Amino acid sequence: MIPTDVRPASPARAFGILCRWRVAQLGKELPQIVVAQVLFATGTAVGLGFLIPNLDSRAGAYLATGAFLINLLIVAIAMVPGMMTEAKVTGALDYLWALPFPRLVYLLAELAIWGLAMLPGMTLSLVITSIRFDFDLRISLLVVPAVILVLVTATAVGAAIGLRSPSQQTTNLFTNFVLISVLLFSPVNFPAERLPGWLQAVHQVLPIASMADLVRATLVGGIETDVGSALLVLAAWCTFGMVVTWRSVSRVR
Amino acid sequence: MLEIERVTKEYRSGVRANDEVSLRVAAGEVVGLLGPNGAGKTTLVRQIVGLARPTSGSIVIDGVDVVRHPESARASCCWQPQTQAPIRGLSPVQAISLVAELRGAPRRAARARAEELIDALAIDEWSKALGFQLSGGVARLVAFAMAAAVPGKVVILDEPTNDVDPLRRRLLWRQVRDLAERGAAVLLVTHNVLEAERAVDHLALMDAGRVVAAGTPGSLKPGASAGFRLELLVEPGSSQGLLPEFVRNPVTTGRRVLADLHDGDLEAAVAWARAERRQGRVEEFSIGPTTLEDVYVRLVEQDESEEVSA
Repeated sequence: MIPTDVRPASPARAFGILCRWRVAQLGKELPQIVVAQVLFATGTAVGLGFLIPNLDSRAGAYLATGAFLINLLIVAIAMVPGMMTEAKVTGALDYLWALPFPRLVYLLAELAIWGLAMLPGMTLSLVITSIRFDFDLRISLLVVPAVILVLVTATAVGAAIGLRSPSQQTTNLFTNFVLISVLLFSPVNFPAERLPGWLQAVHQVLPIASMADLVRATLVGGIETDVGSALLVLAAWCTFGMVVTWRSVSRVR
Repeated sequence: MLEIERVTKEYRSGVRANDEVSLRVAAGEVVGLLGPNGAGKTTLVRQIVGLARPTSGSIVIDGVDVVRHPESARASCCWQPQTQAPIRGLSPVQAISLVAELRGAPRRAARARAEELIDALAIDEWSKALGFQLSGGVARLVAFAMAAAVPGKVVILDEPTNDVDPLRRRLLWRQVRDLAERGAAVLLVTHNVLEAERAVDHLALMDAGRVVAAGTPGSLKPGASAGFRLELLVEPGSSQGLLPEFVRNPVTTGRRVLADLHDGDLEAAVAWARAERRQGRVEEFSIGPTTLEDVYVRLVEQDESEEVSA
């Protein structure tokens, strides 16, 4: 018999319980996500390689790191917003918000699960593409904080979009738009110089180019990037995404 | 335990969902909150659990002002929402024990409590089935068990019997009583008047954002011991003549006429109703003791006619 006056779980314990809750819920989907990521990341890089004849190892490195980032963005900018909107619209978020744990704990649990779900596929695809395009992976230790910053920024922005969107349709429309923009109109798979000047200027403010720069700088040697300004841009977006997300989840109507 | 004092909730659109609502639920007591759709019941509940903030008024749980400290409301209130709980992909055992653990139960005790509730509600058959495989009624019982897993000081149940079959409803009511016996203050939101009458200690009837009546089920029925009700189903298209004088306070809803009868008029009423039926003006009639539903219909209808004339 459980006494009626037990104290709620501590935030640390709540984090663990929520992770188990989400893993149990995603259950069979998680391995599928990992497999889909390997296939998608390797597939886009290798497939785009067919589009471009006489690919040198530098262009190959762009495609491979680009695919690595796109993979991350598919989860953070497409899946996370979709799930957030769904949770909001169906009342699942209200249910969770009425349980006794800080809302930040829930956000951290989501971040941890999605981060861990993404990493194996992303890493494996990177290894495969490095062999296919024959470029040197020169992984610096900074890759850990860099990928975490990219991950947190993208997920925070994705969550903010999902929480602010009024309906699933709006979210889908927006995320499809973002993904196409990332794939074709962002300096992710190719150097920024190939874009028209105005679009280059836009990308100095948007987070995508900076994410790509940071990923490349820490994974592949020999590609020059202005890491300092990339960090600044990402820090700003990260803060923005977190503030909007936090305001959305802590709002009481 | 739960003290709601003159709570008013006005949305930015100007809609007043709650208008000076006051309500008390003592520890060990089941209070039913009744009212038609849109009466403001769920809005009130959302303010108790901290999902919405009152425009004015106070909500106090065990001496703590939960409007100012919503985290305290979350720690002491267990809530079964009107919508389904997010259990997609979870089995009932998982869902119930995860909530129990979040509420502070050790892992093993949480699981034992989950199994106890599953057993008590007779849903063992589905204890390992995943959320999306559950029928609406079973999912509803699971949501109830999630709220009852580690009952806090206050348990709020929003339409817990929706979609639940009659046999399991009885099991559910037993568990609701059990929560009160454990010392929880139970607030039961429903529009199922007949069931509520049997399950609750006190009742509050809400309509258009206000509490229009409150008391024990018995006290809400005026002259309950002597009161009878007459229900008529009028033939479609037949023009209803003047009702005799002993048919008191008639309320017409479509083809249905509901009225009060005094003890002494029963025989006259039966004779009159039979004659009306023979002449084809009345399709069916029934006479019985006044129920809470009659009181409910009357209060709500009255309110609506007042609004029309206002």
